[in-house]
Amino acid sequence: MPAILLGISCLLTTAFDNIKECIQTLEREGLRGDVKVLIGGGPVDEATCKYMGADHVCRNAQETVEYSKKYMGVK
Amino acid sequence: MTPQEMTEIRDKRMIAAINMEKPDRIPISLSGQGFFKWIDPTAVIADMFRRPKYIDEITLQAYKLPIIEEMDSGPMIGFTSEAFLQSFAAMYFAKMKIPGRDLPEDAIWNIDEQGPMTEEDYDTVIDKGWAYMTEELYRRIGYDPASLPPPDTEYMEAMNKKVAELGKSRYTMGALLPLPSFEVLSGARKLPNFFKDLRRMPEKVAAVIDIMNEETISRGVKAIKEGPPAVFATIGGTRAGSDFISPKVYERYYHPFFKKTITALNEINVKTWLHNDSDWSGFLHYFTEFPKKSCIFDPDHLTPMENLKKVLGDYMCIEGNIPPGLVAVGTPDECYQAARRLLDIMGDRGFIMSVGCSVPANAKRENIEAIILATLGK
Repeated sequence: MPAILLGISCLLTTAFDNIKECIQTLEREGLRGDVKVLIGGGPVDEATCKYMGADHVCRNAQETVEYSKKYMGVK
Repeated sequence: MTPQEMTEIRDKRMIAAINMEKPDRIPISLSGQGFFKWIDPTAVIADMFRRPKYIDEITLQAYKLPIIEEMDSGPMIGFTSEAFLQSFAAMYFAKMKIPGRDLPEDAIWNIDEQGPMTEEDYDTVIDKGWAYMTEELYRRIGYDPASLPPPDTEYMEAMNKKVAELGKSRYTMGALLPLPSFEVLSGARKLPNFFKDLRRMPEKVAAVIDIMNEETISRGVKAIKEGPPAVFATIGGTRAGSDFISPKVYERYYHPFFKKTITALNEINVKTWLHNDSDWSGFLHYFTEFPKKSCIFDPDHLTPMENLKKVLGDYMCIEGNIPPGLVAVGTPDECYQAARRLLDIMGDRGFIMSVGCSVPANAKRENIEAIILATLGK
């Protein structure tokens, strides 16, 4: 079963470009449309999400679970 | 105006802010270790270890740039970076990976957890004390402070003189206190093991933390007492936000460290600078038990400023809280607006403008300038 959610954790602003590259690779491989990319970690915010081309910023583990359950229709 | 006169003005500004009095303007503490790239864009983080004197020289130049020179904080230069970082990592019984050697040229250094402490070692601490265990854990990870290159005191003194010539405040960095025992133990055991320990042997972990608190706090406070006169001393906390551990865990295993430390420092008229990463919103009320003005809260942007103002605004000065990601990838306008927003929330006292946690190595110069200009009302 292909992944429908991809969570990427980031603790350093110097890793932003690597994550951006990762998301661009998904696009180049034609996989981006099938997967929601979630990012989280200390230095991440909405500006980072926009820069990386991710779909959602998760502030903590609890929010990630809530978002994922809602997206997957799990009650 | 001479640098000494400028330092006096900036010191007065910082002291007013941390005493929650109205300063002549909001202090700006935005020091970052990557500013050297604004002078030499070809320089990389590995150069901090390979040619530190050159990096120090161009860092000093960066602090003299127009607008940037308005900051109240000065640079951290003149020390042997690798020795400093290995000592820092050793606080967690970890090793430090160094860019250019263990990591790519322009990567930031990484703490590499070793987790040398075993389950049985809890009993060793109870029997023989934490100082004994510390030496043993150092031995297991191969950390020997005596083998690190000694500081070049002559060079450090020369750099201190150069920093003094910048006329910056002397009160933007404080003496470093020991890490909270919860943090140290989670590094010694590695985080996943430590959290299992909390569930499987809660009483033993509590007993060990009590021993560690007793030994390390008294040692840390003694060092502050015997050192140069201090206005404040800094504690770092990264693994205890209220969205990470429960109030029950915080109250039993973490807060006693703060309580003992803040109380002991308060007795010698030294404030506690709380460098608390992660979202502490749910734990902020614990700090209202301390006398007003006895702490400074320094979040990493994940604790929203509205929450800090609401709960702690009448109790302590707050530093922050521009998101570090924003200064790395945002626009100057976004940074300017973020700074204005913080100023609107915090008002004219009890606030130091800064970036949450610290200014990242890839901060854009124009973004730092925008924050300074917003704070200066320009």
